[in-house]
Amino acid sequence: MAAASVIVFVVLAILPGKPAEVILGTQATPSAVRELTDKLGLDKPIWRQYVDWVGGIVSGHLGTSYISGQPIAGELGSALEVTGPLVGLGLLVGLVVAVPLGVFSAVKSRSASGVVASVLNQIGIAVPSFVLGILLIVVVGVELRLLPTGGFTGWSDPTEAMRSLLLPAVALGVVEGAIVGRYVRTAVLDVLSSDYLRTARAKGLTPGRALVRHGLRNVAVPVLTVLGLELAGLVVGAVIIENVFTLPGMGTLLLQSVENRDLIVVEDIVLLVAAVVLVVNFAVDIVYHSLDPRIARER
Amino acid sequence: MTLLDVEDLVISSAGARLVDGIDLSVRAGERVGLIGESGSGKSLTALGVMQLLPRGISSTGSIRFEGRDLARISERARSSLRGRRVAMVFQEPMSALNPLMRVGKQIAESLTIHKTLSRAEAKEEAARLLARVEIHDPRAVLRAYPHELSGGQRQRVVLAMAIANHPVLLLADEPTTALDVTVQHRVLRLLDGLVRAEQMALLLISHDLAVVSGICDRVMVMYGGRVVERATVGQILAHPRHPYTAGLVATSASLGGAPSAASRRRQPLPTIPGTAPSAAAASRITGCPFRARCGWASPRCLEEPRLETIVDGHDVACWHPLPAPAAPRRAREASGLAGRADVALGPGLAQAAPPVTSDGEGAAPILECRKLVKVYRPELARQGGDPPAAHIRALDGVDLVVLEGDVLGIVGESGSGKSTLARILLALDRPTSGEVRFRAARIDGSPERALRAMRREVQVVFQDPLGSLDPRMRVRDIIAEPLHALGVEGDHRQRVAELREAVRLPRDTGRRYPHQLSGGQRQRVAIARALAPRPKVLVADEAVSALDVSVRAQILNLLGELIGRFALTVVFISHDMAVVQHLCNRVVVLYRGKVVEEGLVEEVLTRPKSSYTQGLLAAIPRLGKHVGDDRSATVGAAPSPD
Repeated sequence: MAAASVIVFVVLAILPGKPAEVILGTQATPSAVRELTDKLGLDKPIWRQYVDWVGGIVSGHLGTSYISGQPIAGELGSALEVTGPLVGLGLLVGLVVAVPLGVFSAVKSRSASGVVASVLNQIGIAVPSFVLGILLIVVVGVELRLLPTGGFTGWSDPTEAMRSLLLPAVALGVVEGAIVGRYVRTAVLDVLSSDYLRTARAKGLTPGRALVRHGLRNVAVPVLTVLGLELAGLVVGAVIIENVFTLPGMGTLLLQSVENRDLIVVEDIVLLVAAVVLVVNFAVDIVYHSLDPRIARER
Repeated sequence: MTLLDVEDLVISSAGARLVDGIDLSVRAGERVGLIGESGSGKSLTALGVMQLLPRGISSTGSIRFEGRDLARISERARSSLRGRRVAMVFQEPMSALNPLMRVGKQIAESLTIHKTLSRAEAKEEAARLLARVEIHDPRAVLRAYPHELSGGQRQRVVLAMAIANHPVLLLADEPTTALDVTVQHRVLRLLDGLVRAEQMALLLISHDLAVVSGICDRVMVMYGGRVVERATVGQILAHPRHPYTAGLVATSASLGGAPSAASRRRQPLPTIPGTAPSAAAASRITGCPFRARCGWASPRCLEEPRLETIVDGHDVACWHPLPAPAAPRRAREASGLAGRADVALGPGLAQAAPPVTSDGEGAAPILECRKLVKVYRPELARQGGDPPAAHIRALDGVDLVVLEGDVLGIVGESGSGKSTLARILLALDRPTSGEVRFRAARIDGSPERALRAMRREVQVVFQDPLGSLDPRMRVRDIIAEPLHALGVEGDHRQRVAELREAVRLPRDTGRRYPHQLSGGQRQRVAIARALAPRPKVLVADEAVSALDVSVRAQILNLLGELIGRFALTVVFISHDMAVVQHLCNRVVVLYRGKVVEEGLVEEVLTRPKSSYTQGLLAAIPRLGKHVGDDRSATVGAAPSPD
């Protein structure tokens, strides 16, 4: 976390384009630029800027935006109201795609239907999420007029909010789901050839019941690892998808801030993402322990 | 009443007939053994009967069980028979159990699949079953996960699941192969008792003739996917008719026999030349699958022999069955094995057998250790909660002297510390305390630079030849590697050729990679590599344990010969008393990190002083000795945890 904060800060500091120059536009006088730089504290040595920033975060102040002058916490909060549910919904869609697809293509790996499932899966991996998003907009939004194609009206109307998040979540989730599906398939194939599944069959369980009772939990262990890693991919995907669907989420905020050299906002967002990934991986570790008694023992 | 009647069972994968049309019948309450080496198709036969073949392998033929053909009824109908009327015990008890499910739940499931029980009833019954398989604390084991149990306990759990519904037929595939000798003995005795008490029929699959002869009434011998001989245990042991069976009996008898006198030690064991073909290779052989290894082979053997009855209840598939009244020794000669000893063992072996320095007087110590202690410290438990786990004392004050010319056996079961001892003697690991000397110089804790001379003189052969050979190196480069690594001068190519001949690898193996060789050939490569820098001392850690019976005898003969030829001092580490007895002059028995007995082999074997050694010796399965006959294996012994 600390390492992430340092890297973000240093990389952004050496990026070309001084914030004050960008903010004031091309007509700015040198003295105006100097004055603004002074005001924003950007003339201080870089380590000092870093200490101020981190000190602020620790004491609960994310700072104020260079551009709007608003506290960043508020902007970030309203962006999160969009991105959080979007990623969560995307994850859900991903799982709904990945688990049945992976299990089916593993169980039927020796028949035509399994091969078809595998091919579909590969296509799902190859299609970028924004292409799928545009396709969905055209087909479901424009042609069928079933769901809104963009924009977000806020959570005051939960049904409408969910409706506007549905398409982007599908676009996001299907691609991630296809990737995770491959891992599910491999894990299921491993389990299918395992000795304990053979034991379960020898006890008198039918193939399907043996897989459900003894297989799925064993499949979950490796899949969970991938899922933890893929969540980061999901957040990155959200940045792109939010732009396709013009959602006022974190991705849109991030892009705007980068364009405007609103460095402190960028820094806060990156730090937040890093924190989320860390928390998720920690959560994965905890779930591991409850899933696999052997891990608890190794500790 | 015939319970199981298999006719013309063919098991094939991608066109290769791995099991090539075998017939098999088991009557109610009968105990039948299925013997064969790896690749013979014996395990596939059992899985074929259960219709639980791995994906991509299919079977044809009829499998009539209690009047119904298991191959023709629906999967649903088969599932309702499995675990209820016919049950199976698998080889590797760790992987056979679901690692993420408590043992109690797994046993209870065996019951609830087939009948309606409340959770409490199922748990009660599971505890009763665990008691039935002689588990000491059933309540605690119910709550355990498989990884928290020992190997013996796990196999008992698997057994408990199999007998849960009182099946009429039990298939057991190498149920004790993965276990220690004393544990094996106890599990076999338990299996024998259960089968008798429940009046189950048993199909016991094993590579070990002694194990089968200790339990079964009848034996079927498989080779290359075919049944080559079928008879009662008595008939097979007394008058084996097939040359292959005769070879197996001779090999098992000479290794598992009574303690040999010093004069017989390291005399060549009877072997079967060559190696058993892999299942896929055997499927391509037309005619008798054994003919390439058979001293009796004739042009007629190009035609496949049928299994025919010779005397009442004794069937053999051979054009040249051995004569009936042949005594075992006669049978061995008649089988052509003795006649081909020069092929199997190489010329001049008799002279090569070295004079054994039986008392070691006058010889100088070459490798010794004093008060050796090795403590493994499990990671301390995280903050709060559990107290720090006890330290594991893998070695607990071991004194050992290896004299020049010694062939010292170190015997112990898993957890005895024997492999830790090997690593420390090789300076691959450091002792916690104590000292190790090579030619009087301390080697424990010396920097690697200082050990170069010792590395050249002390070489090692490990158990698993495939795992210890680099899969991407050619055999000739593997053998030459120590020469480069240790900077040995001279013509490496010529040295490699010499070594290849010394271990009798065919010429063309030099170009090959380890996975293209058989298990026996790989172990020959490992031995050649160890001998490359002309070491004085060879440390062999379970060097023959992973090999098939007939191949094991070949490698033992080879080791015996090389010991004499190169005047090697050997530290031979094994769990197998019979092998140690054959090869070594002195033996040390390790138990839980302590030396419990040491002395000359014949003394330790005939007059063991410690109760542990007595138990160990009694547990060795011997031909024709029923497992239930001898109770001394556990009486008075300090059994290893099981």
